[in-house]
Amino acid sequence: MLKKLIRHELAETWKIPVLIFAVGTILSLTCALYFYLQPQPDPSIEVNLGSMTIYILYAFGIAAISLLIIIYLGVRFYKNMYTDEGYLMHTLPVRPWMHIAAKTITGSILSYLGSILTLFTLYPITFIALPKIAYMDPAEIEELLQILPAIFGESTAVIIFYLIPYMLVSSISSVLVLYAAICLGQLFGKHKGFSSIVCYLGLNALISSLSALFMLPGLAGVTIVSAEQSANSATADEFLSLVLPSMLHTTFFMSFLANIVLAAAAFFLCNYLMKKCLNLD
Amino acid sequence: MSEASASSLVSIRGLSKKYGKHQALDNINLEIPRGKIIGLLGTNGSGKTTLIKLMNGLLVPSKGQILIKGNAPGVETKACVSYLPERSYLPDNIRVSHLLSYFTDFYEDFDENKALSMLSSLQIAPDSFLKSLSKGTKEKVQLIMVMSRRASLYILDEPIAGVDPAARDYILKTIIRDYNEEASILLSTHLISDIETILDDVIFLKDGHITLTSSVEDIRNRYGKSVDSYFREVFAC
Repeated sequence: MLKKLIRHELAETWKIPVLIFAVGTILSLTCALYFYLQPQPDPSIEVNLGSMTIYILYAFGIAAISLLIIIYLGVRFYKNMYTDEGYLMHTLPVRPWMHIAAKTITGSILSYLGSILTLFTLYPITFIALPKIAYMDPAEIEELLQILPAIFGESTAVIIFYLIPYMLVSSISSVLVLYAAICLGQLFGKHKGFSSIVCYLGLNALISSLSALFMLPGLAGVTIVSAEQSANSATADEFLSLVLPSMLHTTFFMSFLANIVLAAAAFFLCNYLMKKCLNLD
Repeated sequence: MSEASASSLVSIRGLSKKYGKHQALDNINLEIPRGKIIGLLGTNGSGKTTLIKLMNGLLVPSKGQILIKGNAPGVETKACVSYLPERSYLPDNIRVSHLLSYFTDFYEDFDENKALSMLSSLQIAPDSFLKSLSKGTKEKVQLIMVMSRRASLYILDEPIAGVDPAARDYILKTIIRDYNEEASILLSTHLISDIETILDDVIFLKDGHITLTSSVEDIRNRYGKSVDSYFREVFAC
């Protein structure tokens, strides 16, 4: 049954996200071509305002892909499970967890593809665009390419290798938190759609606050240990090259684990609410 | 019908449902036997749809228990109950043929050939998009899907309200022709005179209480009236 649910869910869901991805890809290719063809600014010009504006608009546009996918998935889940269509979905002979699993798998795939598209377009286009926005000599361009590896203390390939599973877990947890918020919104007597939005904002605020609370002592500890290790370092640069990567590694792995816990909690919450508190209008 | 029986298809005990302070159903006790067509009759707001939704697991009861073939509403009951809600529940952006494959995939008791034959009788093309169909035609499609299952219990909430009289006759004929003797049909409607001829039993629901469970024959014999006339008398404003 789960397979069938996923198949039907994919068949009914893919069109709009694929259209969004196609627009994102066309936008990226156009921007890449534009910045590639732009001449490098004269050293006397500090910033090329036109190119900078285009780059900022592009960055907002491409970042909006993930937001649009999340909005689409939320509307689809609400419409499919809690409006008239819910009469069909909730009378299918399948358990609530199967509905949630099918919608999470489908939604996560689409959300993940959106994140991958953002990563693999925004990152290279930034490197093509920056030397065209402000004058950079070849040494500075080389330095620019080394920024990420310097910050994370890993090569770009290793960073991408870690980011790919991280983004998958992050997509799953963000989709499940969205679904949990919609299920929570149904507990209200009136304005259930609006209540779901409020629950979503509330849950995200709560998650951000808890993350900050849990991260802070850990990060402080890492900073102190790293600072002790580098107490004899000759320069501030050496100090930062030790502290910053450690801090980011810790944040990364804690965030990875937190996303798994969050996804599991949201899944069980959705399942409980659908099983025990369903009251379809 | 009101007496508990081991052969009951549906057994409802002390069922209550509250929406906030509003008591929609209050301590309902009911047995639905096999092989009957039963009319669930009552005025607007009497609790008919609430009872139906509870039987389909779309609402959680405040108190009491519903057992369908010995199971509380869940996967097992959904596999043997064919439900037609009073609203259009079909997604607009799919074709009728997609809906056929949907029902084939999820309901083991769905008979696709029967559905195709009924679609053809009502001149509905399987390749048409649901959004291109009129409200009445969509309701016919829904009813075809529901009646094409070989279910143990058909629960039809206002099945003929939105269709023209000609289609109404076809639907009623379909209901009588297609249900088997082991199955029962629970049918809620305001159009009593239209369905009276096919009913075996009736349940009168008023303000969340069952006020009468009787066979149609009993009402005719005892009161010398049709169910429609008797209903108008009981529920007169």
